[in-house]
Amino acid sequence: MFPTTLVLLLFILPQGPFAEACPTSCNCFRIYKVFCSDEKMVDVPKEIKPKFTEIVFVETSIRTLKTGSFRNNTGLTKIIFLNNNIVSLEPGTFIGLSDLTELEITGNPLLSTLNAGIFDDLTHLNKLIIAHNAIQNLSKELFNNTEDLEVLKLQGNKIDNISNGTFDQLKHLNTLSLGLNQITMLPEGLFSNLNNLKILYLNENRISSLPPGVFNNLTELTDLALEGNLIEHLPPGIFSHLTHLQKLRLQDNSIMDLPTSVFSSLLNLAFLNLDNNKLDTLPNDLFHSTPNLFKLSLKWNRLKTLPEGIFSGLFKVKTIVLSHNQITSLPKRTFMELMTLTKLHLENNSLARMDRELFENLTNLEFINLSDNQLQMLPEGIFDSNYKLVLVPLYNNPWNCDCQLTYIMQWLHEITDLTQNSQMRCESPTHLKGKPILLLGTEKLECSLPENAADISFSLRRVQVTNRFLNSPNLSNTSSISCTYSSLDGATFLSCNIPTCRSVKVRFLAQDESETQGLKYSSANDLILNSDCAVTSVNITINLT
Amino acid sequence: MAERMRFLVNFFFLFEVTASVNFYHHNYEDLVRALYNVQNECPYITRIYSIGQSTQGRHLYVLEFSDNPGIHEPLEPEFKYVGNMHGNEVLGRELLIQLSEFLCEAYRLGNDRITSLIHSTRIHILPSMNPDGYEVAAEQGPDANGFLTGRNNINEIDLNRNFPDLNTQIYYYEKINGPNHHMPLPDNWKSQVEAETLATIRWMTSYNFVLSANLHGGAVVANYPYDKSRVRSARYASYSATPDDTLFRKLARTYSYAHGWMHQGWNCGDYFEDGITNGAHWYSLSKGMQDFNYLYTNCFEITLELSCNKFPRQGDLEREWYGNRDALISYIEEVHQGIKGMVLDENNNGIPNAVISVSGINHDVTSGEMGDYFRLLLPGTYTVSASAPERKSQSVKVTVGPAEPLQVNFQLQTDKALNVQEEKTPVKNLNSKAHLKKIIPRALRKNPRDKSRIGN
Ligand SMILES: [Zn+2]
Repeated sequence: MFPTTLVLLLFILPQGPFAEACPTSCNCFRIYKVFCSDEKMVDVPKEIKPKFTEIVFVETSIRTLKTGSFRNNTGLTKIIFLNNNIVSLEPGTFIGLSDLTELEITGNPLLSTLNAGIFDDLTHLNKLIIAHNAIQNLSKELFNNTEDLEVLKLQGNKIDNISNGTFDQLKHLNTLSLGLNQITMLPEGLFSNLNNLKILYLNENRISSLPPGVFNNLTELTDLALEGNLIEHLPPGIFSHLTHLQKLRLQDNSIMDLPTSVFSSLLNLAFLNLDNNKLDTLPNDLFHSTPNLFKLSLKWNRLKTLPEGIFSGLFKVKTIVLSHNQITSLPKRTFMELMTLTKLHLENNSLARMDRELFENLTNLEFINLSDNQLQMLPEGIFDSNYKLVLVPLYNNPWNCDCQLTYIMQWLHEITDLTQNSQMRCESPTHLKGKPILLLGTEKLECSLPENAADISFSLRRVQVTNRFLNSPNLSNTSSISCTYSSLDGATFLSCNIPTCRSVKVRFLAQDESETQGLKYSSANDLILNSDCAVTSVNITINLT
Repeated sequence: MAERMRFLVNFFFLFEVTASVNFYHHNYEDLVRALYNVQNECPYITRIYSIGQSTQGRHLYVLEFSDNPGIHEPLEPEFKYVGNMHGNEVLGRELLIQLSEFLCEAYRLGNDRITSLIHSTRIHILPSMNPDGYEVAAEQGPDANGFLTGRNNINEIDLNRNFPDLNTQIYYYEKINGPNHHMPLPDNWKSQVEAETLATIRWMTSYNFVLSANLHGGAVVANYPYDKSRVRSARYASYSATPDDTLFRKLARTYSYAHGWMHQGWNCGDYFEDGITNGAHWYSLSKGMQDFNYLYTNCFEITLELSCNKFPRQGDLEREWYGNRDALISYIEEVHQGIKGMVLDENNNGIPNAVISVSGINHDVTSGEMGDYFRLLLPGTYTVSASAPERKSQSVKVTVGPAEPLQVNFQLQTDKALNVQEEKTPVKNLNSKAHLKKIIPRALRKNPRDKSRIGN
């Protein structure tokens, strides 16, 4: 063993202090990492010792990466540029860096072009991030030599079109991000060699239509982001090969309709977002082959109703968001079999009535948002089988505060869901308009119940316009009612005080036609007046013509 | 119960956003890349700045969120989170990275709660105050037995025992009715603190922070000041309340109740009622950062112990994030309570460093450079006064509600204008619900220290 030790010593000794020497104005860590963040630095330092394998530049003033910048550091495995001011990369910048596995050049608003061949020396590159610059074009040969790439992130540039074949050499790619660019169309064969791709981000571009077969070879794909584009129609078979897809983001497009079987191959789909599109109807069978759907979001569309049974088959769904649509009513069995559902958003629709059975059997439901609808009442017992329900926002509905609201009011008090609904107010009847419902006692929730009504029946036996006073009229149930009458030129005034909280029925009995000239009145028209719980004043004016 | 329900409601609103985040331990380089990534994804609401460098030369990067990054807007409060002060307590660091990514994504997706938070608050996030210690701890990894490896900075100094001790002074002043805020520092303080501490203190004084939390690990509890016991050489712990004790308890409870399990009390083999504790009541700690915030600046800071395991396994990070996410947001929202306003001179110019006193609470705050001040208060009726050198001070009785902060402005005349009439104080409620306020003659003000100041 002796000779070996000797050899090692010979190598270590001369290198000793120099190996750790760090470039001026940079910091070095653990003998292999260089970190440069000096804003006065204008060039990649030349004196980086070969022993360093990783180098990071943050907010320096480097404007140009010159040919052979890293010529003396062929052992580098990682180079990172964050928010420098790079304007251009000279041809051959990365010459000799065949060991480099990771390169990032991010946050240079003036970097607009990448020369063809710039990455050709990087034959072992595994991860390449060229993000948030101003790159406009990707030359078709740019990635020809970087066959080992697994991660390619190009988001936040100004790429407007990509030619067919650009990614053809990247057979090992598993992540491709092209989000936040200006892409208008995708060539049909662009991804055809990316058999191992798992994640594809195309969000926030200007794509208006997708070629029918563009995703056909992406059989391993799990995440597909298409949100924030200009898509109006989806080709029927666009996702038909994506059997491993778990997340699909289609929100913020202009999708007007969905082909019946567009999701029918997505057996593993768990998250589907279709928010902020222009959907006004959904096909009956849309979700019949997506049994693993976990969260479905359809807010900010134009849905008016939903087909009966559209969600049947969603055995695992936990959240459905249907808020900000124009839904006026939902079929009784809409949510029938969704035993796993915990959150349901129906706020900001035009729901005017709900079926008593709508939420039946949803035993795991914890939250239903019904705020900002047109509800005047909810049927008694509507939440009776929702044992776990704790939050039901109900504000901003035109609630009719009568006895039919007693159930929901008691239910709210029971689950102490008071904070959410402190703004829940009556729209009618008139005397309760604007009152916070939760501050009313249930005894204020009155209905017009004829059997509880105080009847005032009276007959005007003699009306003489010239008389200042009428004769006392006949009153039934007069025991606790006091009325006064007065008559002034051409008009008779009737005024009663009635101590009741229910309703008052006033019935005119014009007994003697001959003596009540000019009083046109049909006794079929009883006057029903609902009252607050206090002494009520009833004032009636009878005009004699 | 009502408090609990409110958190639940918020929880549901937040859940609308599905953040696509990766849960892994970020070393220094990963941390820097993650912060710059957020800054590039959300350039209009973020800014990155460095408050200085660690002993080994790593930057102490802060990510700022604001609708006007880099600018203090009058009446918009400044908030901060500090993580990873103990290098081996890494959950706070990871949570603050997740929080940064979440705020950016939620803002981009138009989440109402996050949008209004960022529009009304300037949020500063320092994910790692001890990046050198972190690298030492990370080398050991999650299952290391070395309980203390990487806790201290590279000079083996515990940064949470490295701030100037101001408690001794304040406990003395309490007895003799001395100053009750902004304790003076010893002349040689700079030579006695570590690089990380020095950078942090300079940071704390260059922004008028109102509320803060310092994220640690090793227990699960929200810990509020004072950390240092009043009982000298106490063998056992004793409760050491600040003049703002009820407020601090509410702040701590806000976090613990919005947290997935902290409020339950039983965690890591310890029990804390409501998941909160007074620092000194748990164990006495001298020269900590939390007490220093309260005694040297206007900032109210609590210390959050977030995980039993100081260096949780990567697989636990996602669960920890969802357990803490709403708490982290709810706690920032706490900066919007009590009163705030402008202290102006007769020409409507802001008066910096004016002293705002609240009767019954022996801890004053001061106005910032633009003359705006923030005084966190629980709902109630208070007599508040503002004073500044060579100006007549002014008092006003205010009723603080539970929601938005009440805006109470002061206009302080120079003392030469001996017009002893009652000054009208413009009072505006941001809530738009009118509150009745009476202007109290300044003779009712009680703080003797302030009287002496007015005399100057
Ligand atoms: Zn700690």
